[in-house]
Amino acid sequence: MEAQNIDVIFVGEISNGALASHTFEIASLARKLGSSIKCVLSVSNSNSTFDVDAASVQLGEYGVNELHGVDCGKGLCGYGLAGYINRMCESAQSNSKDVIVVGPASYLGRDVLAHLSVFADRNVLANAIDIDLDSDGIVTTHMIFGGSKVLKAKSSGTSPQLVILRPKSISAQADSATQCSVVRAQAGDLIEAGASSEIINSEITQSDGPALDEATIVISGGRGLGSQENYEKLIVGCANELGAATGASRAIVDAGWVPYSKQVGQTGKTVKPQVYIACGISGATQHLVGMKGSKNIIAINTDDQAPIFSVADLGIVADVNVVMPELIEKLKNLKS
Amino acid sequence: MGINIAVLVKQIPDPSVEGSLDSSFRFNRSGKIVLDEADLYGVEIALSLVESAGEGKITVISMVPDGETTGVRTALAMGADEAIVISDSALENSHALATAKVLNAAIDTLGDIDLIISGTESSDGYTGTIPAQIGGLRNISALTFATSVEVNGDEIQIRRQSNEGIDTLKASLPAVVSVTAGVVEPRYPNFKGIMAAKSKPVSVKSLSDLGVDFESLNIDSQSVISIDDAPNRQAGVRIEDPSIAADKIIEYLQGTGVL
Repeated sequence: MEAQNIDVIFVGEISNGALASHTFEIASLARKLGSSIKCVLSVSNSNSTFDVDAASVQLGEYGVNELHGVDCGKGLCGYGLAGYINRMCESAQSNSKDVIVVGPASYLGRDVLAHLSVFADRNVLANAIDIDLDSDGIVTTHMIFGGSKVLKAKSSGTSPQLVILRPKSISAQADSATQCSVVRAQAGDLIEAGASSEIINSEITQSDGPALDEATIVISGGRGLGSQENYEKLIVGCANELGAATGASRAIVDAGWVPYSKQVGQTGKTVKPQVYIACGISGATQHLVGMKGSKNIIAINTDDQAPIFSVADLGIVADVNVVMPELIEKLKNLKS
Repeated sequence: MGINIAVLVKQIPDPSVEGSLDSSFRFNRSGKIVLDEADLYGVEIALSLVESAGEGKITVISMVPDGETTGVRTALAMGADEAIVISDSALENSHALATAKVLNAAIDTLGDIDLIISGTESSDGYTGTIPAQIGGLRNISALTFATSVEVNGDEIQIRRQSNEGIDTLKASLPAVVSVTAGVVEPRYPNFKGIMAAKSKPVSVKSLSDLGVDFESLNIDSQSVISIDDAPNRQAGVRIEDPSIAADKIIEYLQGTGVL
């Protein structure tokens, strides 16, 4: 496929009132793949007051040509957005364009691409970290086995090509400013039986610290903490002192100590902070893939054979329940 | 009568053993195969929904290339009623949409189904799209990333993870729900359950049994072209004296400029 004949349509996302960082990452990747770049954003439910015009100026700086703000009604927006993007694909294809659709590996992105794959009857390649063009399709790069191996897959055949990209895989880079036009739309008639759901209540989890996937410092806890109380006391306590976001291994999410939204790893979030502190986490491949891109890694674990030490810049072979209270105390003293 | 539930499960290579791919870039399934731990939560939620409805039926559905039934027996031992295992060597290279189509064909054999439950993603392939794809194929609501599920008559209400917190949603049945791990305590199969599971019906079906046309799955559109070692991170400094650990961490943090 040739970039000059490709439309790239991607799923943008709003996080805490602003465009998510992965939206700029995907825009930066899209410029390499196509000549016309269109971002589709859900502006329903809690995002209804979002300033789409201001967002279009921001996205223009990243080479995006069109921003589509789509109102998907009261339910989950994945289905409506997918229906809307499917029409964009059909329209591009009727103009003999090839289409690549990219969504982030987020709650929304996975829903949209999954529904779109049914509408378009094309498979979706999930968990990609990069996309390249190939003579008759695309090649996607994926990390497997906890990031120890890099797999490349080729997808050929008819458009659209559908890809779910892991956030933090591509670095966001602004381009020479592009005029980004705004299209406002209603998913309207696209919301059929498949989207009969209705959001009846939204609770915002109050979090004083930074978002897990945006934070400069992330401190995560694992089974080595011994209990949920220790997570609160030591991980949350230390995060408060450092202004860090808190994360978790899958083991303690499965144990119900912390919600799934805190999970760092293959089946959770990918983080790439300046400093990642792993406390009582052994470093199963499932976890490593979500954090090994961090700039600096500190690991604290009693087991000197724990795989986490193989990626740690500073490895502390000790009990977190001994080290952390002392660390918190010293950080407090440092402040005063 | 009662509630009729299908639970989609995956039987995967034991995740405590390091995974590998065979020469055709497929997951090596020659070792121990287990029920994906992420699926225990879906089975548990199905069991508790049947308990609160008073009656119902739970059918576990799993797709494999090799006739494997060990994992579904675990779900039956927990209390599910019967299982369908779709086994066909043609499915060795299946991708997510093809898998969703095959699972959907198996759901079609169950008659009026009220609810389809799955985990959010498997622990080996972790694609995470199949629940919504099944919703799309059946044209019913797909409620993904649920942390709790309640059914009242023809209506389902779930709490769902969102970027900012938790949303509560309602939808009419039938619906598909994917549940996140850790939201309930899955029961352990007891001896009675394990014994009972041995006589519960497990029906192994091929693609042609289900009337699925292999060509329509479009499996050949994708292929793995290479696998290489990822660049390795080097391990750094190791501290084994706990009495200096906190100071070393602070020193390190100051060195990176974050403190």
